[in-house]
Amino acid sequence: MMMKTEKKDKSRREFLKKVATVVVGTAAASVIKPFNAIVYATAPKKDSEHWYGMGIDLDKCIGCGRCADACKQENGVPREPFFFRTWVEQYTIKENGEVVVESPNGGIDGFKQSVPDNEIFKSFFVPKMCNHCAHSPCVQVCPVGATYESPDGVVLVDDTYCIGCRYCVQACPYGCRYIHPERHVVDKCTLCYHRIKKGLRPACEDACPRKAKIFGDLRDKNSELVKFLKEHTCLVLRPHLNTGAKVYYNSLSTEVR
Amino acid sequence: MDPLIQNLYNVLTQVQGYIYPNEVELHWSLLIVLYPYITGLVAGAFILASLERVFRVKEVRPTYELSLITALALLLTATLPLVSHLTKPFRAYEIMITPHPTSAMAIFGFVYLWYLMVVLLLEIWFDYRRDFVIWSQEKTGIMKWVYKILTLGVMDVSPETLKWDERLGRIVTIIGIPSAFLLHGYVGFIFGSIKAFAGGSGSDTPLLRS
Repeated sequence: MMMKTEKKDKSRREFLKKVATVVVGTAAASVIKPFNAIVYATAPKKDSEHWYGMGIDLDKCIGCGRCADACKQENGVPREPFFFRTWVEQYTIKENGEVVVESPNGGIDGFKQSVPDNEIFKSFFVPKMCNHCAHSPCVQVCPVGATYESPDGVVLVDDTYCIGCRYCVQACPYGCRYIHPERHVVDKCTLCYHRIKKGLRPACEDACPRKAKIFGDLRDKNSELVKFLKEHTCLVLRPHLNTGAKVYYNSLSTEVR
Repeated sequence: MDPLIQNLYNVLTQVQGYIYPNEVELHWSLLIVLYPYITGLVAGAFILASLERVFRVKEVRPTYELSLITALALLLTATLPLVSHLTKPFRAYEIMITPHPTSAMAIFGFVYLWYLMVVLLLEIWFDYRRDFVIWSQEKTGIMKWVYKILTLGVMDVSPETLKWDERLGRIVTIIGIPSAFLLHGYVGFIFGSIKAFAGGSGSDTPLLRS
């Protein structure tokens, strides 16, 4: 008889212990949940249908600046030379190894070579734009979450939510963000999200006379972009920062920053 | 022409070498620098108060109340330059109600609140509670009610209770010393967690700033 009571007590205690564990565990999990990005330190699995990126063939770029101009027209970017969603840089490597970079008005008005011909080793153009990083430093630092990554891999800004603290402008290693002087919120390349969702191509790609920009879906094995990546040796900018950049450059020289 | 744009054209003529076109505008300037300056004064004033409270340095006893009130006044104004720096200042409260947990700046709101609510206000309340009770009985009119509210309903001024006030105030000050370092060093963390900023990004930045 004595034995039986003891056993019963023990099982009740075990049961209470289990209940307490579940209750405390659930409570703890619900507290931790909003912070799970810190706790688990990984991004959620991306299983969307599309995963957009851009390829840029530097061998084809002639530095006409049509892409930068088209972008400004399409997206209402101010015309002043300090606000760009995309722009073109001219790199000139001198015979003595010195690197000269120029981008007057983002290349919209064309380029003039300032280095005398006999000093030039090589020269090329580099169109720049938001890299739509998979681990964006800008998304990470936004204090209110106004900058976010869309399920199809495009980094966007919620205009109605941005407080204009400029932390993301500081955080972007590619200099792709600016504060819009009229709307007073941060602005950046959206990969022409309003166009690509309708099946159109981004304005900069559409305007390129040499087809140096190749927009595409990285999930679609038959897309032009995947084909481009297969056929060329492509690199991203600043790979050491581990931003997961999705703008791939063919023939990228190490001098390009 | 917009003065900002006019100014940027002037800046553009002074740019040497190459920077990204979007970086011609200097985004974090004087208003941001003011913040570490003001919190530096807050932390300094608080350390002065804790010299008396925790380390019993009798020479600085006359400055005790003044330094605490100075710390509170400056901490309340410290956020003004930050908020006025925002291009959408009326959305500033979003940092507190919808914080983004991976952002150093969002968590800063809570570090600031910790220092304001748990350290400074609590310590000052323990120090002034006896005075609040006395003033709430002496004064008339609105001020009587202001002091009455400030006592938070604790009207007991027996020597025993005052001893507790002193003891709890000391504990808060002891917690406050590392908190002062945290508040000030956190500015360094905000800068240091920016990958793109080669000059400031690094694990030693919070230490250098504190």
